[in-house]
Amino acid sequence: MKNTPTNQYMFLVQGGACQDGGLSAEQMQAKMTEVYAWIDGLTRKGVMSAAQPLTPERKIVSGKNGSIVSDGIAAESKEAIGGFFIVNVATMDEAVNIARTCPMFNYGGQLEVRQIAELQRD
Amino acid sequence: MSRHGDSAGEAADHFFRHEGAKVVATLTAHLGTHRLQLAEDVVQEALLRAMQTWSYRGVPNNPAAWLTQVAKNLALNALQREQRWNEKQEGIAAEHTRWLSSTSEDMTHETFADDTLRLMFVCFHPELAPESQTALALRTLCGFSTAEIAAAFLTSEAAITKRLVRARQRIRELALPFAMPDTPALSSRLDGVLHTLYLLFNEGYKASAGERLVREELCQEAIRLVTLVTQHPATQEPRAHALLALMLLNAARLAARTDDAGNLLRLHEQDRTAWNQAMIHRGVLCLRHASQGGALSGYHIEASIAATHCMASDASATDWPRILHLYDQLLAITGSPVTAMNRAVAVARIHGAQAGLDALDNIRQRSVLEGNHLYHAMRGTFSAELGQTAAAVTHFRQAAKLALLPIERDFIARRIEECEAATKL
Repeated sequence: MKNTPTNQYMFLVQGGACQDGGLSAEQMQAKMTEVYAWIDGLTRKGVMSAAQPLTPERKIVSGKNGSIVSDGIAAESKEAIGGFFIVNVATMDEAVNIARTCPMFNYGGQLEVRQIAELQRD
Repeated sequence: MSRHGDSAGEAADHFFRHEGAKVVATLTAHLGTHRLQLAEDVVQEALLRAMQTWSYRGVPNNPAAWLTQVAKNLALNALQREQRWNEKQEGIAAEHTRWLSSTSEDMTHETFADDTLRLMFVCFHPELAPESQTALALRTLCGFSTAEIAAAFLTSEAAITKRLVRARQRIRELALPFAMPDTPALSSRLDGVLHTLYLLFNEGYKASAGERLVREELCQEAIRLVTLVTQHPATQEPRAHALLALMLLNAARLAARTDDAGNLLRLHEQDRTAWNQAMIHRGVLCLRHASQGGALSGYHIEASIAATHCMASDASATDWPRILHLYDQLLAITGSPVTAMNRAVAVARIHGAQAGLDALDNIRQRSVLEGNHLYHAMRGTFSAELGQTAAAVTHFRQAAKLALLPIERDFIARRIEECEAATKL
């Protein structure tokens, strides 16, 4: 029996880290618990392949021969990427449907869903 | 370091709040009380980072060390930045830099508990206004946000922010040391700490408004803090144990005070099976512990009154003569008209409603009670029991005028309805 072909999709997590006025410790714990439960659930089902947070420190390297090193956008920015997930599903539609169940939307922020390109092996 | 695969929600209740508060205490211990605001700010940021990281990976094995380390790094950065901006300012002390750059793996529960207790003596310093003391304690010792404190005290966030700013400013002006008071002052300072914790508990215990959860948490926080006091060798006095007993024996019955719709219930209407027996048990043990040594405080007596209620299998089995005897003792200590008012209930239960009314009439500083809605509600209850319905309604109406909370006004409105229904019969 052949399995449904599986592709990898990456969710890039943007924003949602800082709220206007700030979350209370209690709210932060609630948010962490919710998001962790979501990731944990998908991990148990075997759908989640990787989930990694990124630390707020960042540098942008650019220019000829990488001559320009700058601090880039602030960690509090809406565009700042706070982490990524990689899920194993067959289609973009499935990936989007999973992304939609992510609890972090209650706290602002967005997910960018991208398919990870596969190399042709033959 | 991650615990991926464990069930979610593994972080204990209020874990962020309590761990964050511990780190605030530890940072303040090392950087000084004038840096309290800095400590609070970097801990808020550290919690934010914890939320982001732990969402993905689960809670690390030593979350307190993780938070402490991040907060220390942030504090070091902030202090260095501050120094760059203002070169005239004295440099960061070498010892601060050394401590902030060290690893945080060796923090023990005892260190955190010690720091928290010392911060308690800072927050509850008699030079700070009482309402500032409780607000500051909730912010720094308990990790509440200003919005949460405002909800608990039924006031605005702006008002709480003002109190907090004033309190931190006062601490800087007075250059309060981060230390337990020395022996001669310790006893009276401990009285102040216990009294403020008692007020904090009562704030939560008072008839709950919409923010019922927050108010129950005030009671839990007061219990947590007074527990710390009872565990430290310098402060584990009988009266501290008695205060803990009093809180446990009252908090055990908190959930039963309202029905599912949030209506206040009278003692005989409460479902006693909803009382928290484990808490009652702990409270009774505490009271026994407090009674060793013979020192007797008002807390001992109030705890004994609560214990007497807890021991009764139903309202009719309440040992009112014992409660009256305890109120007599308490009144001798406090001399407070509110104590005398509560005593009148015991009088009425033993000798009848008229005796209760007489007891209220005989209170010397009765004028103080005129603005208290409970006083009028009590008169209304006694009058109604005597069949003096018209007088009862008058008293209840006065009580409704003075009651601040909707839940209290609803309670009184139901009593008025009962009176009116009785007249029609």
